[in-house]
Amino acid sequence: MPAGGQLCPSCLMAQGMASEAFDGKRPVPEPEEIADKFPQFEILECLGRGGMGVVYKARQKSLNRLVAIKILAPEREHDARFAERFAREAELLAKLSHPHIVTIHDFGETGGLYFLVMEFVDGVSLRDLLREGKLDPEQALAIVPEICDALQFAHDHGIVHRDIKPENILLDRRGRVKVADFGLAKIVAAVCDRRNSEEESLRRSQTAATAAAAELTEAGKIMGTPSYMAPEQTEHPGDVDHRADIYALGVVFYQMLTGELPKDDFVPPSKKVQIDVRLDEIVLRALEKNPGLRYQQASLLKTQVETILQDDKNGAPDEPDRLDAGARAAVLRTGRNLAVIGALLQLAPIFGLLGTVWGMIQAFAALNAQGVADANTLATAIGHALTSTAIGMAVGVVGLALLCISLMRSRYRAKWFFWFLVIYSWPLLFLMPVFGTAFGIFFLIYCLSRRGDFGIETNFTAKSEAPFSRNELPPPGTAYAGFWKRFLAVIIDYTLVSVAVFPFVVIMASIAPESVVVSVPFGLFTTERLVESKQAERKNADGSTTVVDHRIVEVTALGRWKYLYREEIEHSAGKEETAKHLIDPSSRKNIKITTAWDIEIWVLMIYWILMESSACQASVGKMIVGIRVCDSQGRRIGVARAAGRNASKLVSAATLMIGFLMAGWTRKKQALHDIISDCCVTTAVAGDLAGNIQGLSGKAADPSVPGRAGDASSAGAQTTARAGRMCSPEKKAPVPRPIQLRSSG
Amino acid sequence: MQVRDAKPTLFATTRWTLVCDAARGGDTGASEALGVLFGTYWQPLYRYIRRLGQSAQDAEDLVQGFFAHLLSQNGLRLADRDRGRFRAFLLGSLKNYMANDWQREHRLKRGGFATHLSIDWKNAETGLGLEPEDCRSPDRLYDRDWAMSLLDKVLDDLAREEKDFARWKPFLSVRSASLSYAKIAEDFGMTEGAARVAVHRLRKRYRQRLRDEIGRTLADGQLVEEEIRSLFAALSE
Repeated sequence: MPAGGQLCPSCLMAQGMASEAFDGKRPVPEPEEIADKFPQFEILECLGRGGMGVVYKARQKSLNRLVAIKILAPEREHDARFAERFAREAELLAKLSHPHIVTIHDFGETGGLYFLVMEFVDGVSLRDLLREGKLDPEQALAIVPEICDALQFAHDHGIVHRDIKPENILLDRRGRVKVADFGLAKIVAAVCDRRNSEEESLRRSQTAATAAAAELTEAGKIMGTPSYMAPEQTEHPGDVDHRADIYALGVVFYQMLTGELPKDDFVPPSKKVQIDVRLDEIVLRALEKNPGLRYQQASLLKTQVETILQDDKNGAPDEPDRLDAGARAAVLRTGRNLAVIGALLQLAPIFGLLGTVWGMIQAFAALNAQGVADANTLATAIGHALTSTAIGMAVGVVGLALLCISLMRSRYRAKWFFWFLVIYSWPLLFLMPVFGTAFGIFFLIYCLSRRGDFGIETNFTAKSEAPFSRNELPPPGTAYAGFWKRFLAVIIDYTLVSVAVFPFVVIMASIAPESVVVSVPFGLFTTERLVESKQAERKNADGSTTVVDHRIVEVTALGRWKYLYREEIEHSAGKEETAKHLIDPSSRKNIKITTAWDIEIWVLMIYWILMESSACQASVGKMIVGIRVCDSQGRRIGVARAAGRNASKLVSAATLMIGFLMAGWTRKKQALHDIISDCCVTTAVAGDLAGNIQGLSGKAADPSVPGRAGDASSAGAQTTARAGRMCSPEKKAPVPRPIQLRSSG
Repeated sequence: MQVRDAKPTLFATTRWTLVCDAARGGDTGASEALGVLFGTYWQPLYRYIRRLGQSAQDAEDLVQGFFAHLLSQNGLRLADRDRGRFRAFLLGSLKNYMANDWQREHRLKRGGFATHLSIDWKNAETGLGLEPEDCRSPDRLYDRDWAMSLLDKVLDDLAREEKDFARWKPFLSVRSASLSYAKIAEDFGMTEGAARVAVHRLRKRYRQRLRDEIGRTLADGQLVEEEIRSLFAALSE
């Protein structure tokens, strides 16, 4: 318990807080102390410490009015030059008579103290308002034009404030703005000029400026916060003009809107608070580092701000309560009508899409069995497709625009529904050109590949291996396609598929990054970075050592998706083996994520099956190189067969390595491939197969051949029988020469 | 409290962090200064311990032991998160000490801690039993006690240096406006103007001392305002 019971501990502690100006060196004079220096005033209380000095509230006895007395920096007490300059400046300031500028009533010196008698503003400073955070945009927009007025008036009289900051912007009880402390900065700084030698050399004046600047920044107490100073005030204090005030105003504006000071890389205010984006321009322009790029006049800033204010007043949507009921209803009605029309027009792209698809169907239908089509029909079909695309897109865009306009202008209440339409229409509008372009490219390639001399990839039965007898001639125009053609076809197909799959992979990776590994086709836009590397030596069973490089690399695709791989490179005698495995970044364990390849292989398979069994009889790649897939009669094969073929590729790939391609080298291998593929065909098409064989050989299927149960087995048995025959070396089948098909059209 | 006030050493106004560092380094002057610091602020610790339920005897033991621990090499570890406040550091170290070291040392010494400080324990006891049932946590009450000890110290120092302080003391905590300077002038036999000045000067010196003392318990002099605010809050709860 404190000694002396009547002392209240919290009051005692509060005493410690009382003076915010207590810097330990120069305490603020209490009202009592200075009262005797101002006999004509009754000092009431200390209002606070400003940038230049201390401010007291006082009553002017003679006129019985409230005034504010500012006592300036007492350090200047005995400076004669300061006195002269002070008088001159104060006289100038007293001429500033403006409703938004705090008027100077009197000035002087008494008992060593320089003082100014000013208008007393009964209210708060902007600093007090900002202590609670940011202001409403409306408030800020109401204050700024008044500050601009004050600044412009002062600038017109050749006076620069130099110290615009929230503490110097006062608001009285009626909300009127009063800017205080005009030009005082210059008075204080001016002293430094005079302190140096009278020589007018540039160097000296620059030193003076630097000295002034040093005092500016060093004290902080004298000149106020540097955060509001324009860059040129710190860099070339001698070149400061009225535009520095505009910069400071920009800082204050920013602070009013966002509650924060603009740092070096500040964010435009509209990104932090809900305000008109045009305010960004104003603030940014006021905050230009280069004075030449700023607003050159405060009145210009004011005009811009007022324009926005005016627009906001006119733009009824933001303040519906400003309108009367009738006008509001009319606005809503227009909005609703526009929205409905826009929504209906959104359906147009769907029709466009349908038209495109219709065109494509027509084009396909125009293909005959050989996969060629009449040029005119083709052209018409393409025309249909593209026109539908174009019209659908155009109408859709118009509808979208209408929708957006109506939503923004009228704030139609059911807008969530319409925003949904907007969102859904974007992919559609995107898909349409994609579709159209893809269609066009496809047909272009197709037309290019519409060549007469296509080779048949496989006869699908071992029949091709057998010597051709007279009534067993292969269909006209068929020849066995060689290795390089097939290889090229596969390359083309794979490229197409990987490019097509890539966007979906990207979309999937964007939605769920862990679901799939993004790899850009051809390895484009992919960078690799070594994260860790260490070498280890491993002793082998036979005594030799292998140097193994363990590396962890980070692969970045499109600069966005990063994957970690563990690589183990073995350098043993003469050879280098590399194993690369995807690992989890945190646990560094091997993980398996779906890669583009996994997706591609499936897409490739399905694509091949569909295309080979379709009227095209080939995939795009095959079409380009001039290969068709058909049965022994040159006809289309069905889906099931195509599935069997492609599935057998997998099987034979496994067993024969690249067996299915090597099938191109020799017919013997092709026979084996066919055998395997035949086995994969489902029973449903067994009839088809049997029919073929019957037609070819002219004799009925031999039911007595032992084999597996079911129809398919008879086919299998048949081919096996043939295969057996085929292996005998005595006769070599003459290679039929390719016969040119008449090119049509 | 009868702590021998050490001669004002170099460390009288130095930040406590520097004192601690120096004391750790073996500087006896610093150790003394640390002793003075500790001597000012042991009471809140004692009362905290008592509020936790320890007996008076154990509490004495703890305080002495804690101080010895502080002076030893292990004791003076500064925690940054206390933001350089001696008040928080002391309480944190005490808790740490109570949890870890005291049990061990207590067992070894069986209550026979060397007396580093001559402390009038009774003073700390007064009022402990009289306090009304308080739902505030011991930590908050510690802050309150701390503020009290601080004020005590400041007032004591002033009493020593100002003449006639006892008579002027009451005016310290009252707002300027509610004082009747005329009466003061009459009581003390001076003019009203002189009375105003005298009161004002006294307030000034008190404020200075208060802030200095608080500054001593902070590593960073800038935080004086904040510390005053928290102490004020602790006092006015």
